[in-house]
Amino acid sequence: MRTRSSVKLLLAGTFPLALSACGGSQDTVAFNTKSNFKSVEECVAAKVPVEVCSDAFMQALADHRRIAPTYDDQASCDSDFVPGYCQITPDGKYMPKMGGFELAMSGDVPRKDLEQAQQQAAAQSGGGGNSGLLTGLLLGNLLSNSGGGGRYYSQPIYDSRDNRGTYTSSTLSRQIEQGKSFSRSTQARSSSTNTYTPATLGKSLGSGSGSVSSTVSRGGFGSQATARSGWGGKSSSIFSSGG
Amino acid sequence: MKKIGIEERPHWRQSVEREGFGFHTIGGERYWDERGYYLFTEEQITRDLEAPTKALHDLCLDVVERVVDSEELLTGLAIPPAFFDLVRDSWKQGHPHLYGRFDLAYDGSGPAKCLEANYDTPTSLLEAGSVQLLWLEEQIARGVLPAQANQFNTIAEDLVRAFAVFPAGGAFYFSAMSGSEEDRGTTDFLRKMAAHAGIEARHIDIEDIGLTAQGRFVDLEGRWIERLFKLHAWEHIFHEEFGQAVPGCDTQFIEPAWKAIVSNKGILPLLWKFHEGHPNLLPAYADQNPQRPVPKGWVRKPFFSREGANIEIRTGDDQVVAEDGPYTDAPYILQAFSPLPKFGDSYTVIGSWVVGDVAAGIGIREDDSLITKDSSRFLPHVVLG
Repeated sequence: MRTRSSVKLLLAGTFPLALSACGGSQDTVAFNTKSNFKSVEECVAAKVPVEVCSDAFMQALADHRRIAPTYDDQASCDSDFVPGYCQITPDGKYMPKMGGFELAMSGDVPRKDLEQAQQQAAAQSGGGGNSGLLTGLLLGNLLSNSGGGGRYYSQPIYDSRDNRGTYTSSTLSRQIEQGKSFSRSTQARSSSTNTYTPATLGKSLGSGSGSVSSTVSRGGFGSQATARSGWGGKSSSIFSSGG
Repeated sequence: MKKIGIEERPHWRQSVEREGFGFHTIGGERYWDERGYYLFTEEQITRDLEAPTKALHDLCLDVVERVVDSEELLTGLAIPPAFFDLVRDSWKQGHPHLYGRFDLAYDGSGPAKCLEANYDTPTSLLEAGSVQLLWLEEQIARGVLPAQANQFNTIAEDLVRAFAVFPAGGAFYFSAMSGSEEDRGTTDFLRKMAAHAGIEARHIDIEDIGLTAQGRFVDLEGRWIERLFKLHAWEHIFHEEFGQAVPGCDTQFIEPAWKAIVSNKGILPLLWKFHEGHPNLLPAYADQNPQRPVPKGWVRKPFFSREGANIEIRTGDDQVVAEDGPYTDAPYILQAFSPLPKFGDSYTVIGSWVVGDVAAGIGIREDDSLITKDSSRFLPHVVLG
């Protein structure tokens, strides 16, 4: 009789969150997560150490000053974000306010600490899966455990409406992925393609702040598939770039 | 081959979600549909699906062998000249490949016809390799299906075996576009299979991949990405900013660059050209004049379409079925129309998987129209008798 795959292969091991198998005996798991915070206060309330929150905020603010699209008039700026959101700059341009910051972290966490943090986060948020709180608990763990090698990164986020009209806060790179080109911004108009591309962003983000190595650029993969998403009827909100 | 109604497992949503299948319902509509299954005989599987799948795989590799040394054919497949060497070297050096899926029109008799080869970024692997198999085991355990009910499904096992023979190396990254739950279903399933083979398998979003000034691809922490599975088509990579860095980099890509030859629908005319009359192939030609109406009994497909986009069918009795989409900037092919069989109100296509060089199993999708799209439904299958 024909054989079929063993169920053991399918059931053995699961991937809660974004965990990867770390090969055999090591009892740590690689962990990465992202959370949005509107303010340092909100970040601290999620049990992220205060110095991390303020550092992440300052990094995001520095990036904001470098990467935020600027416009000649308020209407152009507001139309890329939300009404009344843009502010005038000292040199007479308009730019969006920073709506908060995205804090991302990755590192190796002892498995037992992860499980403990997951339980604590679940208990405190009534089982609702509060990833901000989980981030906070794990960051605290990583930073107090010098062997963990955990890293965190932050980026500014901006309020906008997505193409279904829903208000969201997300990073510029996320908004570009979702199809925005910021075509009336100064940066877009000075580019050959009339769009504010991930490449523009990658170069700007890559300079300066200590959290991202100055020699690494990002966002150079994915733009072609993004440009084609949004088709496919019912599942347009869960696009697939595969086939 | 029959479609048979069956009772759903109570609480199946929780149980499939537990195994990483969160997108069973898309936009409020069923994508995973276990109210029915397709029943095949052992002979139908062995003779009509398993052996032809292996044969089609061999034909594809034969065409790759012919194409890599011909600049004319590479050009005809819309591969940019800057990548000819990358594609050629990856083939000549035998860079390992992992998987592919043929979409077949088959109604239970006669030869299955190959509609297309998805050999670069096929998805629905979790559904085929895991979800439907767990369904079978559970329905047998509940006594709803007989103990001898079986499936053509060694996908998981064959993946573990394929990973086990990959050359040893450091961490293996699995990448998909952020935000696509379906793509992530496929890559997370692959990671799990890689982990069974003792590989340290990590996820990275495609957009998060970094490139150093020295031309090395790195993860978010700046660590070298030595091996990268990318659920991202080569035809996209060729035209993206980081694409230029691929030929000179020290990352091993899976699928390898030579898969660009097979993922592209331009392979279909070449399969026909070199193997005309093969029972599992349909006549196909490059479309020299995509402005004219599709001739009766033919289908027009763009080279790079996914999920049925931009496909236009004109049946023998002059019915036109067309699907709009974003793929309007590449060449087209014409393929003889081979209607999908209809079971009840649904048109059914069989996705037949190749893992490594082995025919590894099937997954079935149904749609309400002749063009199978990403709004289709996935149904399990049973082999019995």
